[in-house]
Amino acid sequence: MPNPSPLWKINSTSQFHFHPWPDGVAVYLEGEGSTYLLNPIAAELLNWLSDGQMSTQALANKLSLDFPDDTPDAVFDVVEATMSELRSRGFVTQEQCHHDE
Amino acid sequence: MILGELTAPLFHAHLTGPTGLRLKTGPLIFSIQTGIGAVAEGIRRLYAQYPLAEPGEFVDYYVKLKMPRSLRRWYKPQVLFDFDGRVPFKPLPLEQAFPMLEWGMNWCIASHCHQWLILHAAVIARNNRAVIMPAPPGSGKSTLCAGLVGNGWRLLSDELAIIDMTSGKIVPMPRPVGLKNQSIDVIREFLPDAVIGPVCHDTRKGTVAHMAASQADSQNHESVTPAWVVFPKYIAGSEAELKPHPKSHAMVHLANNAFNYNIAGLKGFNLLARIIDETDAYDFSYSRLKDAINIFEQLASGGPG
Repeated sequence: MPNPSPLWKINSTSQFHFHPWPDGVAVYLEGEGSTYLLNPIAAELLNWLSDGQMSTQALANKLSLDFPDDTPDAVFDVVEATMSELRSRGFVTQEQCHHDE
Repeated sequence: MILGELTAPLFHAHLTGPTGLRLKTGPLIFSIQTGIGAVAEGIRRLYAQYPLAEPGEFVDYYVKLKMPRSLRRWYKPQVLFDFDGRVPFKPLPLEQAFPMLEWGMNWCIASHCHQWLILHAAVIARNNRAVIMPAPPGSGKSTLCAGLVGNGWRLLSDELAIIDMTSGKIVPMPRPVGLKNQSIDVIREFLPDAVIGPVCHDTRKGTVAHMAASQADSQNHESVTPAWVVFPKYIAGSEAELKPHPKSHAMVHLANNAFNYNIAGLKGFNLLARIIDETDAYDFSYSRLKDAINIFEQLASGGPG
């Protein structure tokens, strides 16, 4: 029986717009008219989620492609911490589901 | 014709007449009506170099400074700001009538001119390159702005950075520079020739006075491309220091300082992002105006940045 793998999803119906700089990314939520500052990894994860729900593992797998020298566990930890922060700031929510990606 | 060319009787006739004194400030025309002597004195002193509208020109805002029709006219008299027939604010003591005109005119622009993106920031320029200086009250923004415009920098605005939504250029809205508390004496000493208007005590900002813009600035309508975003901060006893400010942070600070960002929507976000892309952003701390001006001169000549 597969383990439940929670999926992350965007906690807004607003369209996200990103403008990156080396020191951070400005994110504009069109429906709210608000602008936020995110670190580049958080912005990238959010950008991927705007295309659909993903699990922490799936996000980590995708992010690993940008960090080939880091261990999968290290990348997973970064994703986990980043998603936790994004959740605490209200950008994302987590939803239980019963299939692995 | 400029305001200073009006004879005193004609000036007062305009101010108290049915069409008001129609003053051009940047691209806007205000019709100002008042019978209050202190307001007339402030306008005559601080707007002497400003052009007057030609007959038939469109007036953007009709404002009046008037006393309430009540016993308040006689006991602790007050003043009301009337905007196009509405009174948007609570009355203030009559002694604060001139600052109320300035604050009210700022409000007219910030609340209605949504064809532009408007930031709470001073804007000065050198060699057709503008510095946007957003800062909260008490940061020394206006003192710095006054010191710089008294030393050859062009004043585009002391309070409202007006940004053209298409070109990204700063539209000049050169009005008198608002000075508060100690900065009034600082500027009197630093710029002995500065024209400073009535001093009003006990306002919600403390003691306030305004410094006139130069003749050249009052009449210059040329927009300017922003080159720098500088976040100034007065720190007593500090050396003047310019430090790079992360661009992503500068973007969010600019957005937080915009009056009509929510109205501009995605266009506003893209415009600010473009400005941040095309400018250098700095934190600037200072305590002595002379040192501050030296740093800004270096900045303008390609120096410390």
